[in-house]
Amino acid sequence: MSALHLSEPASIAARADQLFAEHQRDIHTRTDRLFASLMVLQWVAGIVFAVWVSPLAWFGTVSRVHAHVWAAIFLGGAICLFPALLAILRAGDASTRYTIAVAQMLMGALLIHLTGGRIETHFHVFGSLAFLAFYRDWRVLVPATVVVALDHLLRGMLWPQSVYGVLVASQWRWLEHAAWVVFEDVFLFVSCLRSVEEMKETAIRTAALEHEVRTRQQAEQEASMTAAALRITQQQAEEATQAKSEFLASMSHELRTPLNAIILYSELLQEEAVDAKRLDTLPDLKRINSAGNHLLELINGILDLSKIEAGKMTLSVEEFPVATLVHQVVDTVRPLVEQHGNRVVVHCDEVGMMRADLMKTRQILLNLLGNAAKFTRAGTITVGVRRMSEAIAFTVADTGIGMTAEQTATIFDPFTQADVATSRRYGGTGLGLAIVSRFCVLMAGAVSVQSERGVGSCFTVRLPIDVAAIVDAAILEPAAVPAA
Amino acid sequence: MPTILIVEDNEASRDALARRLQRRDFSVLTAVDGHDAVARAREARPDLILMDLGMPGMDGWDATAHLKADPLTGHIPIIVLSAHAMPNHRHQALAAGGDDFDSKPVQFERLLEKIERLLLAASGVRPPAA
Repeated sequence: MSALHLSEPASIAARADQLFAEHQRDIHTRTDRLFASLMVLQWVAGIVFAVWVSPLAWFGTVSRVHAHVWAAIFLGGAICLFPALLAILRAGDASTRYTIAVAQMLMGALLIHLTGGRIETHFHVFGSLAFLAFYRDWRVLVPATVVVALDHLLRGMLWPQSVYGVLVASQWRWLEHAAWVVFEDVFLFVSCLRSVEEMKETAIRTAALEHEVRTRQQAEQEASMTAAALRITQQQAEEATQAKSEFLASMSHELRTPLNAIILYSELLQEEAVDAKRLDTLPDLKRINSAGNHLLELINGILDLSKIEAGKMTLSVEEFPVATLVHQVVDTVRPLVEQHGNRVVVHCDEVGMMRADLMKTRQILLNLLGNAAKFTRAGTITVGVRRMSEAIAFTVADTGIGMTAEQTATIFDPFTQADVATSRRYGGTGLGLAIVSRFCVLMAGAVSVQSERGVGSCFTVRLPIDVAAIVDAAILEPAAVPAA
Repeated sequence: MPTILIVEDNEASRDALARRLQRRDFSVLTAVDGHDAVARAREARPDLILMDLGMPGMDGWDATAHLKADPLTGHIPIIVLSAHAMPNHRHQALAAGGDDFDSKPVQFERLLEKIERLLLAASGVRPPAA
């Protein structure tokens, strides 16, 4: 591609030369063909003319065919037929058109002679020169002019009435005739040069245009190939996501079946232990049960994430009072909060209604409050809700262990709890914040965090007051059918 | 004492659920696949059926459709239980004729509520005379 660009002007010039040469040869060939016809026509016309004009020659009582008729037949034939043949067999060659130029002028000379040197027949010379200019080659005019001048010079000296008729002949008349021929030649030269110039310009323009068209076609071809490659890559990516999502769905199904037995049996055994007054086994059975439920949370979280990634997560938007939701969530997590000696404070006045996915908004708040409770000991968790012009802002602030800047950078990625030791001490799936972040994005909102190690963390979630008005309608579920 | 038919191919799940229901004073029957379920339901006419979906042989969708189409068993409420947590499975289960749906692992107390509610609703409807 770059090599082609470097030699661009050179390649255009070469192509222009080629086009010009082709055009020139085409003109030469076509003009040769025209002259082939003209030669034959002139020959026949010369004979007819000679027969018609020339009187019968009388020698005593015997009449004979006039010598002019024989001249028209044989001399005319000799002059015309050879170039006509050349024009057919070797059309386009330089030698052909020079021969034609000479022959055309000789034919003019013969016709002038046959008409007895009539001045009107001299017009044949001028017509012929103009016709020769069809070649658009000034060089052709040179032998033609030389032949006319020489013919007039020689016949003017040796046989004046053959060229000038019976009018008074002068020694210098040949020069006058030659001068008029040169006078016409000048115009024809200029005309030839100009048309050659134009032909060259046309050739250059055509070559440049060809080059541009070719370049554009190449670019288009490359663009369409790139687009095709992109489509394939995109399709592969979609197929991979689909395959992953299907794998996770089927894995989730496979994991749930044994988990069902684990949870049911651990609960059954607890009930039986209580009945049999074997209370010593209860703590262990509770651990089995809680591990099973933890595993279930993980599986549900992974499934949620894979559904979001596969674009299968939809929104079920409804209108609800924000304060009611916040108080419900706080009541739900209160036992967990107070378990570690924390207290919870809620600032939520007059925030009104919002239209969003209630379950997902609840999940977001539950996850944030659950986290705050998990990572705070004997501290305060503050929940704030503010109504802004277009959005509701929820803040969940704690006085817990906090995070470093590096930790906050990746905290919304799946399976990235602040560190492994944290995870071991505080538990959790490592999916809660990833789900919060994705739910926020799904509802055209955002979540951010400010945190300082040892001081605490503050998560802020902003959700549009009317989610349905903003998000793509394709992810909205049809209006829920009221329960029967 | 209401009779519940548990249709479940996984032995442990079947046993655990059966024992937990028995502790709550239900009389429990079990079936291991769809064919078994249809046969047991026609013969014993339980008050309610808990139907697993993914089973070898006749699966839960087919068995539910069969039971609902049969005049002998069509009135019996069916709760579909599935480890598939995708929403489309829920729709499919209900479309096959299930009266309710719940996901596995079973949250026992929530399942009990659904059972009580369906039994109460069905108590007005008398099964056809055999």
